[in-house]
Amino acid sequence: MKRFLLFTTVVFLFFPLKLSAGVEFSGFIQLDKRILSEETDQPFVGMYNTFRLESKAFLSDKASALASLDLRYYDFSNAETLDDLSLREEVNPLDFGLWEGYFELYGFLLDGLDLRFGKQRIAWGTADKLNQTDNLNPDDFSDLLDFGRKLPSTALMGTYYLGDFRLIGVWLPSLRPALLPAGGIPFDMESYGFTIPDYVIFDFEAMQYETKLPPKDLMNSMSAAKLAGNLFNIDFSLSYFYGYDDIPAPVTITITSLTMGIPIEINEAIIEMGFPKIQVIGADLAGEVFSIGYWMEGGLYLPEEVKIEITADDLIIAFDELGGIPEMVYLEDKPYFKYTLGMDYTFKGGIYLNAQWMHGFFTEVGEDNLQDYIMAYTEKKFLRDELKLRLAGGLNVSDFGDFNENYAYIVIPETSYLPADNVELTLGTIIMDGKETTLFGQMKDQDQVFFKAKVSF
Amino acid sequence: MKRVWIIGFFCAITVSLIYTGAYGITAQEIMDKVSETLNAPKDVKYDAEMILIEKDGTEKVRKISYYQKGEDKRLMRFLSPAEVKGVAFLALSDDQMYLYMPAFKKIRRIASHINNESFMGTDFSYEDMGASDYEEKYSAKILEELEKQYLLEAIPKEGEDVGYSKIKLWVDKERWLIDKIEFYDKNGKLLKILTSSEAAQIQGYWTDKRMEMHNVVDQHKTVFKLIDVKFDNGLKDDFFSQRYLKRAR
Repeated sequence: MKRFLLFTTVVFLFFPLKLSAGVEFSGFIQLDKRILSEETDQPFVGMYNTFRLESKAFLSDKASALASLDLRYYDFSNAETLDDLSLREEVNPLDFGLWEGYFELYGFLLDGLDLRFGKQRIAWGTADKLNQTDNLNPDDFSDLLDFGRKLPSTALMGTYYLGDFRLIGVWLPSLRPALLPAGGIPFDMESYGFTIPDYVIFDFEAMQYETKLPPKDLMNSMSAAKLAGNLFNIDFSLSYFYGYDDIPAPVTITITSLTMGIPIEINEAIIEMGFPKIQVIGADLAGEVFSIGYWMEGGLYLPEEVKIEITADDLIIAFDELGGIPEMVYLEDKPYFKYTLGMDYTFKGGIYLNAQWMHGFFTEVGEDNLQDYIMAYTEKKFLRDELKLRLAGGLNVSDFGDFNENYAYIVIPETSYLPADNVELTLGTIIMDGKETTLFGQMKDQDQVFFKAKVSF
Repeated sequence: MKRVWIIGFFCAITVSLIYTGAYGITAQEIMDKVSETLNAPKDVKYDAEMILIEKDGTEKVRKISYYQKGEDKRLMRFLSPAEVKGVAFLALSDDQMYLYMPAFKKIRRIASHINNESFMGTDFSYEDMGASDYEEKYSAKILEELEKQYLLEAIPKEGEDVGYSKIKLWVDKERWLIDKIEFYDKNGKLLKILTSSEAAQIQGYWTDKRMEMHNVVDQHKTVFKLIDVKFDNGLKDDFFSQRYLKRAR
């Protein structure tokens, strides 16, 4: 039944468009193979391959529509039981869905007003992938090592153009949560910013997690507005977002088993994950000085307090001697500022350099939990762009005051080759090391070699 | 009194020759006429096929659609190959440029450090693609008057950030089109030769429909063919904006 519905969707999305004039099709197939370089009994990383098919219909000068399908399919079976072997989705796991699907109206009612309805990607911010104001679409952490990816989500966006200025309004009917890596998050829950009393020990990996999405009603929809323009040859924008963080946070913990002692060990619990409400006041700019490109982007995050409600039912007596159940605050209602500064330049000889300083990763919330990431890459193309050598790297520091204990690095050398038009082969490696007080440091066992092949059509 | 007139006459001739050279026209006047010819239409749009020719003769083809208004406002959409289809480039001035990347649904500001870089792997640089304002960036002098052309040498004006130390231009005397340009690198060595041909009068405007850029260093060529050229389309200024940059048409 599910497959029939998907097939019907495809037919409805694509077939009518094919009948009309001015329809264009495009897409790509990308194979992604990775092998962990650390010693492990499971060295192959189960990364997905992607098939994307997009059609765009030019209905008139005043309207167009776009639909794209996304198929992610895996190299390895998920089957764990004999019964699983009779289930196609377990033997041949795949994830098939609508990537984007929207239509656009140009000059709607007013000459300068364009509208876009439907599932869409709305990219905000001037930084290069490390955007601090790009909060409208959920994060796509399905490939955690490819930072800054986002998933399209359903929205209504209106843009009014007036000279060099644009006023943008967006309404999103509901929160769409971030997509997490298929194999789980390879870093500690504590990195999220738990404030845990020292008389309690949580074994987070043994907990049972549940999620609770916001109610589907108007009050829990999300909205944003933005004014963008160009002044003195500098592009700028000011934005405001009211909605939810797409990354879940613990809101209730129901303890079902513990071991008395000092500290108290929480052995089993159900952790309900909710989505904190946030407001973000954003600003960005981009320009150039002496031919050097620069950009700055910052978001002032105004979170609501997230206090974790803890229940222990009949085990509550265990806490009595310690003055009751501890209060755990996940996030205080204190504003915090995340920003990214960046520059790029092409040196003589065609060597391109791109460098950015990011204060606060996508997953980090609360002033005390923001780490710093200095990311850079340089690349040089040869043979009429057929061969590209690229060296990317990053330094992650969680505390500059005690640098030696709070740093990690990532290095990604890679080579891309285009043996023919529309075919790109990429071979590279990811090397990470450092202290586990940092995000990169917690992923240091993820060193890997990767090979990607992409064919566009 | 007669002697005074004779002296005055020769002085006037001398001044005139110094000013116009021995050619009856100055280099600046030639450059102005070229600029007038190139910028005579209010706007232009065309599709273009760029054929990249390797030393061994193998070819690759790239297609774009191109729109220009005035000397500065340009919008290019990449039509093929598929890997870049939908990517669009907008230049509002030499230092205000944008790239639309449909895969990310994002418009990115591009700084002018790319001007000397290869355009889509061709022998044209971004600077070459937008060059119709030689008289603004270069100071020229006449080297020679040929039967049908003027040969000029031009060097960058002070403060102009261009990718060449000098260029030599062969300008058609009748149509005021540039038949050929030699580009010299920063060390004064010949780098590229642009040869224009298939001049045609379209809607009353002379234009070359074929250009060949020959990179003499690596013996690579790019042929740039203009298809379906249309002038004076009534393109508004706001067509050259981020609004239209991300529209596929």
